[in-house]
Amino acid sequence: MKFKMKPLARFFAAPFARYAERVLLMYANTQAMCTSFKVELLNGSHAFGAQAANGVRTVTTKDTFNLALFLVSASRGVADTVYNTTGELAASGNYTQGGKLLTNATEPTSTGTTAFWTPSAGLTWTALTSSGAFDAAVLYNAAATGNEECSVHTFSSQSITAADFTITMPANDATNALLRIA
Amino acid sequence: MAEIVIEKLVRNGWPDDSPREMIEESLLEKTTGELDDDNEYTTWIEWRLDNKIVKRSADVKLKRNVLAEGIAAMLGS
Repeated sequence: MKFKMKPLARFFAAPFARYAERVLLMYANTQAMCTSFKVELLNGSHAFGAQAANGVRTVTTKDTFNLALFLVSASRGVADTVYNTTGELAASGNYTQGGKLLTNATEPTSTGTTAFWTPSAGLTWTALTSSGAFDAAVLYNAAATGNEECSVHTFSSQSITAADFTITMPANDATNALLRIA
Repeated sequence: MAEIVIEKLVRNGWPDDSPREMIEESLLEKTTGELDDDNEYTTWIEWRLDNKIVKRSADVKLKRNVLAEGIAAMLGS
């Protein structure tokens, strides 16, 4: 016997079906600082700023960091270790996979017991037509061989058509900075 | 009369056929929206032609950051 849902029931069931699909298939982006990134910080794998000789080593060159956009159907989150193109916006409509280079003119600093860092400028994708709805931006070290991933930042689902998409960074302080260690 | 760039609704399929076209802005229905919560302040502008979105921009201002707690404790301070 073929089951056929009545139109009215289908209307009310549709939102729950979409939610269930996301939960059951577990595709969703989750805001997080990647666990592997914390280990890499302890290993000195990322240089967000340059520093003078400190008795251990001298870092004269900062790494470069990119921000890439990911579809709502992706599954980026705390368990990520490296940037890859799985779930990223397709290379179309003026989007280049790998994302955009962040401006990093402000060294990491601290206030009280909290250290923090924020890119010194936001990003704009000009005249973009996104290949689908997206709701996450992945921050990764573009200078590192493996493109180690730092964090995932989520926002409301956006689809862009023949126009600009802008991400503005939060205030660079101990309460709001993009990356904080407390 | 201002013209703006939109996503072309119909393309003829020729390789050099641009996906964009210019259109008189007054022919489009323009709507704006915003979302303000703990995570973000987002604004968007949509232009519709015959109820189809032909242009949409958005500006996401991130508010919520990611925080690594307890690293200082692990380091012994």
